[in-house]
This record gives sequence, structure tokens and C-alpha cells, in this order.
Amino acid sequence: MRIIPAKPRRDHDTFTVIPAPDTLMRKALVVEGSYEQSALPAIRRAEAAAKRVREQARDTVPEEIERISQAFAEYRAKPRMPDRHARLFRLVHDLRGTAAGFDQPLIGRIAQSMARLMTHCAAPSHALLGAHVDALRAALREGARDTRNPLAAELAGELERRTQDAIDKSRP
Amino acid sequence: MRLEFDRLSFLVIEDNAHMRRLLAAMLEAFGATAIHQAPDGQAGLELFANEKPDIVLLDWEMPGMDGLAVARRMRDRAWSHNAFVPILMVTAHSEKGRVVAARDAGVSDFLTKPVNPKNLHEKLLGLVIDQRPFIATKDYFGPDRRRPNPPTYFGPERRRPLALSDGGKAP
Repeated sequence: MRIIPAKPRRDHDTFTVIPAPDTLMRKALVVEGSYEQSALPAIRRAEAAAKRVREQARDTVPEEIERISQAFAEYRAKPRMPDRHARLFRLVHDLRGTAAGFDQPLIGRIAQSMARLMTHCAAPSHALLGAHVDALRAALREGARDTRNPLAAELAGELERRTQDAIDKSRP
Repeated sequence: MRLEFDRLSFLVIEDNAHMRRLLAAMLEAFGATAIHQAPDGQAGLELFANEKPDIVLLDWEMPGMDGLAVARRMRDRAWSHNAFVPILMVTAHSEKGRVVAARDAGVSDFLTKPVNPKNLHEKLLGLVIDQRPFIATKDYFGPDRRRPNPPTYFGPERRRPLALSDGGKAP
């Protein structure tokens, strides 16, 4: 018995499959030895380079938190202006991405919670946003970097719980 | 197996100066010598057109043109000199919906911040050896987003839960 494939749907009638070019493989891939062995020295060098950059960048975290404080004040003054929301979100999102990598896991965790709140709640509570900003400033002031510190962990955990509550309540 | 990084050119589009420096430092440590950097999407597209990089590392959240818009532009065959360019989205977004949106913009792969050298190295190797074909439709051009063909399905929508019951099943 011959199997006849179902006729494609009309809106998908026209698509083209194009083989991927192998230009980069031919240009830069050397197929010899084990990948792990050859990659390890490069990865070690990159780890050392990353450490240097992170040490330099750690000094800028206070400036980033100050920018977030200012952006929050501007957003709170006129929350319906989309550019103010976008700017605040971008700064917080940036901080969540960089802080953990720059050896500031507590600040990264607080920023992550704030970014979630702004992503999932159309009109996030100013009080809760403000609590995140205050926590960022406090973490910085106290030099609290590590989430293993019980007080820091409790603070971050409380913000995450309140953020989750706000997200749950905002769901239709 | 190894990658000769000095034979490749890279474009890093990232608005955060430290993250940009971090990515460039890692690429340099891998052996790359041609690393172009742009602080926003528009500048990134200009460098893409002028420098013709082999691989693009792209942030998502940027002022003005965001990473998705940049990826779509690079995949626009009417505009792009190399619509096949591997694009690695490097972002703090890790939610599933975001990953899907990046995939639908034609991004080749996704790397979540914080970035570590081992993951970056593996992702770059993956981009170079990626042999997924490209798909061109009226509103998409990019790497094949479909999962491998299930033996019982012959239609175009393998990711849809109803795909097996909406006429795509083999007789």
C-alpha cells in the first residue's frame, strides 16, 4: 500500500528549505583532538580575563543603583509615560544580568525579583517597587553581597514572595 | 576538534558597557582578534553592514531598536548581506516565552546571563557546526525552528499540541 502524505495547509504552501552554509566550519573548525582538551586553556584564559573585568566593573554597581533610584522616582511621578517604565525596566534588567556575573548575587537576586514584577504586572505597586529599590540601596550600603547571609536571604526571599503574590493577584 | 578564533570576526551589540567589555574580553581570551562592538541596535546594524562579521552576539534589551528588531533586520534578505549569519542572543531573559520570541525572530541560539566562559565557548562552537537548514516563508527567514520529524506527522506545525489531530497525520 502506498502512503500518501496529507496535503499541506494553504497558508503553509509556500516555504523553502535552504541548506545551511558551511562557510564558518571550513574557515575555522579544525577536526582533530578532543574538544575539551583544546578548549580548556582558552576557557581558563577567559575566566582570568572575566575576573579582571568584573573587579573593575564592581565599582560601578553603586552608580547603576543610583540610576535605578532616579529612574524609579521619575517613573513614580508619571507612571503612565511608557518611556519612563521602559527606562526603569531596562536598568533593572541590566542589573539583574550583570550583578550576578559581577559577584553581587544578592543585588542580582533583588533586581531579578523587581524585573519579574515589572514584566508580569501591568501596573506594579509603587510601594513594592520602592521596597526593591530600598533593598538594593541597603544591600549596597551594608556591603551585603552574599545571599547566604541569613538576613540578606530573608530580605530577598520576602521580596520574592511579595512579588509572586502580586503576580498571582494580577492574573485574570 | 577546536575552533580557530583568530579566523573569525565577531560583532558584540550590547548597551551595557561592562557586559560588552566582558564579552569582548572573553572572545579575546579565546583567541579572537576581530571584535567589533556596538552600544545599540542601530550602531550594530551599521557595523554589521560595514564589517561583515562572521558571528553576532546580541543583547535583547537596548534603548531604541531592541535585539529582536536587530535580528529580524539581519535576517531580512532584501537588506542583509548575510542573512545566514549566526546570531547568539545573550540576555538576562530566560522565560520560555522570551526564548520562543527570540527563536521566531530568527535567532540561532540563546545564552542566559550571567555568562561564563565555558558556556560561551560551547555556544560559539555550536553555532559554527550548526547544520540546521534555513527556512524561508513569507514572514520568517532563519534557522529551521521545527523539531525533528516525528514519524507519524507530515504537516508543517509540529510544535502545536493539536498538530496530530488537525489533518497533518499520515493516512
